[in-house]
This record gives sequence, C-alpha cells and structure tokens, in this order.
Amino acid sequence: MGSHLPDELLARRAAGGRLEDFEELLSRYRKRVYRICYRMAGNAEDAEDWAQECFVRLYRQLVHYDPRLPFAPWLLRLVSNTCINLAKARGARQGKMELGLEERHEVASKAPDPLQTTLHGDETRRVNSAIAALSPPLRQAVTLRIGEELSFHELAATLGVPLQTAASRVRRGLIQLRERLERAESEVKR
Amino acid sequence: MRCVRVQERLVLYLAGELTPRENSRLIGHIERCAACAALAEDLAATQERVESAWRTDVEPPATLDARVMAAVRALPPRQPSALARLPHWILQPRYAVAGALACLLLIGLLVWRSRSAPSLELAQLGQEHTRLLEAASISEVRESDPQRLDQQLSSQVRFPVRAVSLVQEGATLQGGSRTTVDSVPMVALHYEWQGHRISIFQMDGTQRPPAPLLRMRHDPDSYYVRKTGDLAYVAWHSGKIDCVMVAQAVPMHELFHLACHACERQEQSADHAL
Repeated sequence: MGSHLPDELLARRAAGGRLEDFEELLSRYRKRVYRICYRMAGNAEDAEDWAQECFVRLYRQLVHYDPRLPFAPWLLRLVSNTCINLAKARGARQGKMELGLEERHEVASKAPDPLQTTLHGDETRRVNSAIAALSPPLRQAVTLRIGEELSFHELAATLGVPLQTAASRVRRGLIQLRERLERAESEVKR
Repeated sequence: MRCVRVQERLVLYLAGELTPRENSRLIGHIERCAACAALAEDLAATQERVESAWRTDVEPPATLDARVMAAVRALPPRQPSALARLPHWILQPRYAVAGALACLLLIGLLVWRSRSAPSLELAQLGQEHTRLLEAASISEVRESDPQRLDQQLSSQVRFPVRAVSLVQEGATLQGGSRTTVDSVPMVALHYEWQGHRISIFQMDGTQRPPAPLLRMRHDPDSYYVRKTGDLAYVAWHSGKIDCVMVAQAVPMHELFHLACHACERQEQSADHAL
C-alpha cells in the first residue's frame, strides 16, 4: 500500500538515503516521467533508458532539493533538462551538427514501434514523427505545454526562461509541426 | 497592435492566458487582419491535432521500476548533506531570520568589545620607559640575578616572568618593577648597557598584546622592529609571554642584537624549566 506522505517529505527522506521513500516517488511519477521521455525520445526503446537516467539523476540530485518548494515542478524541470541533454548527446553520437536532424533519420530508419502500431493509428504515428523531428528545445516546449498541460507560466518556470521565450518556442514548434505534417500528407497523396 | 506582437502572443491567447485587456486588443486585430487570423487558426488546429494524437496515454514498461531501483542501489552510498541532516523546522524563514539576527548581534558585540577594550600601543611603552627613567628609584625590586628576580616578580603577576642575563653582550641586569600600562599588567626589567637604560616589558602572552605582536603569535620566529624619534623598540613573542625591548638613543642594530640574545636565552631557560 502506497504512502500518504506528501512528495516534499518523501523527497527529503529519500535524500537521506531511505530507498523505500524514493521507491514511493518512483511509483507516483513513473508514468509522467516515462511519458515525457517517450515524447522527447521518439521511441519506446530510448524512452525506457531515458526514464531510468532521469530517476537516477533525481536520486542523486535530491540532496539539493529544497523541501519548502513544491516537488513536482522541480522534478519536471530536472526531467526536462535531462531529456534535452540526452537528445543532444544522441545527436552528437550520430555525428550530426544540426540538432533535430538525427531524430529525423532515426525515426525514418527504425522499425515501427510496436506500441505505436498497436495503440495508435497512422495519425498518431505521423504526429509523433513530426514531433521527433523538432529540435530538442522546441520538442520539449510542445511536450510540456500540450502533453503535460502546463500553463505558460509553469512552462516558463520549468524551462527557466521568460514567459515570452516559452510562448515563442511553443509557437515555433506548432508552426514547424504543421509544415511537416502537411509535407508528409502531400507525399502520401503522391 | 502590430502583427508581430499579435503573432508572438497567439499561443497565450489560445491558452486563455492573456489579460482581458490584451485579449480584446488581440481579437480586435484578428478581426481586421486575415494573415494573423489564418495563423491563429493553424496554431489551434495543430494543437488540437497533437492533443488528439496524444489522447491515448503511453504506459511505461513493467521493467522500468526494477531497472531504476537496481541502478540506484548500485550507486555508491552517500552521506546526506549537512542541510539534509538539519531538522526541517530550522529551514523555516522565521528561524532563519532569528539565526541571522543572532549572528549580527554577536558580531556587533565582538566589534563593540574590541573597540571599547584599551588599545595598547608601543608608544605607550615608550612613555612608560621614559617615566621609569625619571623616577627616583627605577626598580621596585633590585636584583641582578635573573632567576631570583623571576621568582620575586612572578609571584606578583599572573604570568611567568623570564629575566635573562645579557652580561656577555655587555648589559647588566639592574632589577625589575611591576607596572600597568593602559590596564594591561606587566613587568619592566631594567638593564644598563654602555650608559644607556634599556627596559624589557613582559606581559601575559595569552592576553591582548600590543597590536604588532598579534602577528608574531602566528609566526613566533619573527621580530617587530620600530624606531620613533630617539626611541627604539624590538618586540617578540616567547612561550607564554610577549616582550618589548625599549631604549632611548641606542642604535637600532645594537638593540636588535641584544633583543635576539634575550629571546634566545628565554627559550633556553624555558627548555630548562621543562
């Protein structure tokens, strides 16, 4: 049976080395963290690795967490920054100079994700491919705003940028998504 | 409102996060501007498309928890930070403010004490040396044997007096007096060297010394040398006492030479005492 303690107290106790409290945090946030990783990574295989990396970083960083501040936004920021770093590292590994380019290649070259095939239709796959082709900062902004339903104020706080920058990233992300989706549809028609 | 500004704020408008005033201005612009209206429509449609595609939630694999816990357990054990070990209540603002005020109060008290405490300067020892010279009887205790003089004077003060023989350097010990300069108890040892009177002031080395001697407590092998007018000073720290040799119209190098020997003999006598 899960604990009823607030996240902030669990985080503080987990920072002191209590693994059962960390496990409770893992159980509360596994779905949300995985979802963000999945949308940022663009495939299930990387998503699991990225989610694991996020939780390991969380465990290491808990000693720096101030329990007077709400836990969820702090965690979201950590997860979001970890995903950005992992996406950049993946791009660097593939030797691509331009961020986002490597994801296009990866999505095109990988076999269709069984999860996507079974649970989502063609439309979902198209949208996810278009999202995966965005540069990591734009993908991050769209994922958190639309996928996690953060308000723009929350998004700005999570990204650590001014409100206008957060809004600009979401706008640019949506515009690029529309262009890519239109391009993909016109190729299918041909 | 210009198009650029409107387009920057369209996503905030779609999210309902503009102020009513900004909202009405933006709607007014969109009604008149076909390009901005088209963009607003495109953004809303794309957002709706993403929301719809993501409506089916993704589930993490069942293996995730086991992988995370295995990775966390494999990490080297860590010591919780000092902050994490503190009781939670201490981080509350009222206690933090109280702690800061207490620190300020303590610092203020220390500054006030250091300012209100008597400030002993070398010049005051120079004045005392001159006063003793002018006194009818310079020495309260007339004794030329260093050990006997030590015994007589040490019983009157709270620190071990260390008189030394400087006969080999041509200085004869005349005696010593107990005195107080600016509330600091000390003894003055009197020597005669080539017709000049030389005083060695000794005081408790664990108490507040003349300012120059503070540095020497951290570097006991050093001397402080100063000449003001015809008064010359050599100061040093030896064991548990601070010493200042003062003389009038004595060449600095000669006084320094005597001071070095006096210090050396004090160290030898301290070693003997052990």
